[in-house]
Amino acid sequence: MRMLQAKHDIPKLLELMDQDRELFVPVRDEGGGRFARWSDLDLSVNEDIENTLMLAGEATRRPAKDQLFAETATLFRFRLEQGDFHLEEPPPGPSPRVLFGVRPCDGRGFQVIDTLLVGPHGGDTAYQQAREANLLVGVGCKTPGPDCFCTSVGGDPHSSDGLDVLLTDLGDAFLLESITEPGRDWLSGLQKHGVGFLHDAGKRDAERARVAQHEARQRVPRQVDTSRLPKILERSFNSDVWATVAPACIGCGACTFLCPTCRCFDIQDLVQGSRGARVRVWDSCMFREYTQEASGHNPRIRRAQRWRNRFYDKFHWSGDGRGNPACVGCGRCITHCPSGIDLVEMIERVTSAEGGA
Amino acid sequence: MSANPYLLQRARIDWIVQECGGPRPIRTYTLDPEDSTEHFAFEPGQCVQLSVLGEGESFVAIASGPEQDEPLQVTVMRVGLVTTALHELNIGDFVGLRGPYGNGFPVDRWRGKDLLLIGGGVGQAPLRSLLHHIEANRSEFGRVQVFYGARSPEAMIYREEFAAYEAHRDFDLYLSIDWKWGPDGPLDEDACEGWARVNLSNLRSTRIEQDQVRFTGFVPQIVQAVAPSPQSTIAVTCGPPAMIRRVVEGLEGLGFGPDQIYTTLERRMKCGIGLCGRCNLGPVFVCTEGPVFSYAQLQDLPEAFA
Repeated sequence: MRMLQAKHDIPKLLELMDQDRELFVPVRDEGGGRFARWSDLDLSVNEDIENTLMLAGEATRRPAKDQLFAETATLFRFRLEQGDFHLEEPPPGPSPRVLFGVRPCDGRGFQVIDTLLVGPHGGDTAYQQAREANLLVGVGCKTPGPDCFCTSVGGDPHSSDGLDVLLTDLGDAFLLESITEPGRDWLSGLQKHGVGFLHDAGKRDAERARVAQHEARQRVPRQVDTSRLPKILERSFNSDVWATVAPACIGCGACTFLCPTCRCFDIQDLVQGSRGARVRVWDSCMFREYTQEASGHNPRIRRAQRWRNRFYDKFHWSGDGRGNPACVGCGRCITHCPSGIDLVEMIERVTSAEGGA
Repeated sequence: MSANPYLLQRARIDWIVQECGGPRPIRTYTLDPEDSTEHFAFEPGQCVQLSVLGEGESFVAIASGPEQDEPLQVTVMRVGLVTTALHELNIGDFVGLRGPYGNGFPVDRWRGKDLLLIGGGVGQAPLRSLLHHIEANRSEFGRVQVFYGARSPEAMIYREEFAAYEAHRDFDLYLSIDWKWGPDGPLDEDACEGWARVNLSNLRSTRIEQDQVRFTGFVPQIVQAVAPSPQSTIAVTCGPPAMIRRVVEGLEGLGFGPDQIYTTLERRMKCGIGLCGRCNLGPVFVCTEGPVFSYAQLQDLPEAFA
């Protein structure tokens, strides 16, 4: 299903989206951008919306991942008694929401997390509930950001992978295309109530979209050949190349926290008086404590080992289950690394150091 | 959508045995899982997630045998936050329990073979589970040689059980205590009375008296001195990483192939169910695909011996 939405009517559309499901949108802020609840924003004029919402392709610093894989999530609550405890009824799951303005790379990131947060004893309930409750409405990147390299890792500025609906910027309007069944149902629901500003799209609009998508692809600023990585990594675990990045890395973990596919977590008990909650909180493989055993032993004591682990996990061990690596090329780890470590350069360094013969 | 995999059941502490004292005391807890009206089923080598609510969880090997008539037991060394909190609990208190997790020993493939069980310190716990299973099905296995070492006679765990094995000759038993090392090598005077010393300059030439059970020397040295045959034999070793490395080297020297040597690995764990990420050996999680691995498997996995 394809619909056309004039840009000047976007506020009406967003109001409409917020009726049945809670709406979250990417907003510019001093922290570099984040997803925020639409009803918390005070936007009345169009200029505000153009300036506040991030819909042209620049990345919110924090990926859409935050909205489904929360920084802190309660696994269950309990009550403590002397030498004993009781579990409490779990709270209800999340109510239906729309994540509007998801970048296609973030959408692909969810496909990676989908494969990682499932194991032989079941999946992470909080994530699965959030995944089911959220309709993902992506907006293609008209102007990809300065560190983007999605086309080098199987992606595209208008990839629809992992999304329910994809919007393409046609200049004066957006083309809305449903990708999944829930996406189509949602769009047709909008259409019923959006009479007057949400129009059926024609063949010409679809063609304009293809042109816009093709042009956007040409604007992805960075390219790197990752096709040889799987073979190269098979024999590079003990390479000297990993030590070359370690001196610069300060082990802050920003690359992992801002990564749309990182999902490592810690589990902690929070207690106040006799009430407690077991929570999962984000963790990072870049921290020494991540693998620090109580005995004192640590199998990844050195920073180079931790860096190597992250690189291998992105490009060799994990993936999206569809043949693509677990890196979606969003560029956040490059943009926000305080030491200026550049993943694309690192891929090139590994390839040139170990790629021969 | 699957049920919440982090939920746990209450398990009452029915009994506590202090196995050894010192700065890192070890205790064995007998647990009664409240929700398991039937037997808590598991395989030797599998683990459980043990919770002290308010402190957290610890991934520990099951120390009891899997047979119906055995109560569930775990042996825990006091070393971190959770295990310290556990050591403060009393009989009648409740812990949280989920599992069993991990793969366990492939005992079905070992039937009819001779077995070497080589344990060190608290690493003996999963081997005790295996040993109880062998005891209950003794005729299904060939000769069984049990090596167990600790720092000192006082640091040995399951002492009464080993004494019973010694008395009944169920297994060939080799108990050992570590050398204490001085600047010029092992300190002679610390060799305890009744604990025979292995010939350090030539381990293989150590004369082993019939019925000699107690030795002074590191576990890998005792294995070398006894020099068991690899013929139709499976060796299983659990203990500190340094001990495992040496034992494996020694077994290879004795002619054991990589598929005849099994071990259990330890890693820091949180979820125990393959989600949280930290216990990986490359693409493999120790909590779900381990903790039991053959040496053949480990040779292909990165950081297995890190």
